[in-house]
Amino acid sequence: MNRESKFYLAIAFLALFGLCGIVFIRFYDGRTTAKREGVLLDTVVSVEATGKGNVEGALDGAFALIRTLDGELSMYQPGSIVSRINSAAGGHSVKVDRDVFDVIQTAKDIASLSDGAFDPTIGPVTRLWGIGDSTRSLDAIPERMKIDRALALVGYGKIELSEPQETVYLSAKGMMLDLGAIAKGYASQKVVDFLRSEGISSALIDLGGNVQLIGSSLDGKPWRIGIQNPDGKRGEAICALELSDTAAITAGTYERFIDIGGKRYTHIFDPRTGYPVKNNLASVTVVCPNGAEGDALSTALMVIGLDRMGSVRELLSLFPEAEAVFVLRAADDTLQVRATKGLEGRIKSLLPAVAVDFIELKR
Amino acid sequence: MKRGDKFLYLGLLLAFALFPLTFRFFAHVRPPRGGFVLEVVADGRVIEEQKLSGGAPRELRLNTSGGSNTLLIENGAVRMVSADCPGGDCLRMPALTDERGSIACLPHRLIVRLRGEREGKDGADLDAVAY
Repeated sequence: MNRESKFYLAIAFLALFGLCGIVFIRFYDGRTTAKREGVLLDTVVSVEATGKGNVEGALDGAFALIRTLDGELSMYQPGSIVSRINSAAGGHSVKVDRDVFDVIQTAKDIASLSDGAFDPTIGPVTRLWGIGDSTRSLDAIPERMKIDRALALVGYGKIELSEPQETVYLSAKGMMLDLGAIAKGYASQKVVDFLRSEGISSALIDLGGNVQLIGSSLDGKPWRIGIQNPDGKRGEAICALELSDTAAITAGTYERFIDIGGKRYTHIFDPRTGYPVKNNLASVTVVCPNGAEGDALSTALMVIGLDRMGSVRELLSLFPEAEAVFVLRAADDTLQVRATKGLEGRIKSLLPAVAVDFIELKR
Repeated sequence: MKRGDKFLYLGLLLAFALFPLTFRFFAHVRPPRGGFVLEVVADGRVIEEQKLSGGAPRELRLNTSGGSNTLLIENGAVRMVSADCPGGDCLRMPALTDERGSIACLPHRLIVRLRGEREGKDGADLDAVAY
């Protein structure tokens, strides 16, 4: 064999190696996928993760984490830290662990940024309306006087947090934290942080419709996440989003509601009126990298409503990475979808009758 | 360089060039989550698109300017069972069960194929729904 043909042979072998490499990466990238489901946080929780290390072990850790947060953050479990903070209201401060301190701090921050549209101290109001208490159903909506009395106990400014000691104190007796509008988003954020630290490169975390994503889908394309059609069955989407490395969290008036005297009221309350939110929004979905922020923001935007476009823009301008999708119910009962401009190209309607309009934000 | 070597290298080059095609043959290894969508293209336009669901065998009649054909959809496989074209080549084509291959009726300028739902535009194959 002469020099020239040796050269060509070497090239051919190199190319072959390269191709083998491509095939190997394509089909055997050393990653494994595992999925697990459970009932936690009063909902169905599922986590699907793909990574190189011990994926099953990572899922064990993720579920342990959710279970811990579930026990800590519920206002309805008597032994939970939140319950202890609530029963100590107006009396003394309560020492909490880092996670609980974090979530309350985040909740207070977003309450302040949203000017109280989201307020974690809404507890006395939700309690008065019988939310979370399946044993009791109201025959009539609460009297104005009682609502006013409950409202007097609402106010994020009355949460006293002491950073070095990690203590929480509610300064008025009867105050109650209700972290229902942030707990799931916070939990999914913690799960994402944990899974990333375990080397998970792709994951879909679905905590009862609160979706948060790591990386892209297995085929390398973005995850395809639907937004629930308010008039459809569970799992029927009105539009689809292509997302990676972000959270998509929806607050919807259709999802949970209370029945009072044959009338339906949503479980989302306006902390400034003490009444269930009533506007033309069927749902608000916030897409942003931080699950806790997305959860609280979706509730805040729901409370503000698109009628107050100025406030909507103002709030979103404080969260430059957040995008939102509003599903509106028009007077003739038809649905419309409005998304912030940043989602253009990543959102599409799944119903022929529903078009997606865009809202320009000044950023 | 000998004459035989040249053929060897040419053969190798050809093999490499055709290599991407082998991915097509792997397409069935991981079937799309949402199953397959039956797609009929006539004269370059998609005239029929439907989910290939299970259930009883059914026939799908296709009328185009060229003539009429009938597809039989059975057990996740699609084949042509009747056509009023002179040759009837399409009737002899193997049934479609995945993204590989297609059934063509050239006189009617008709192409029938399956594709993964993931690429579908109806979006039924979502990874999750936020509610």
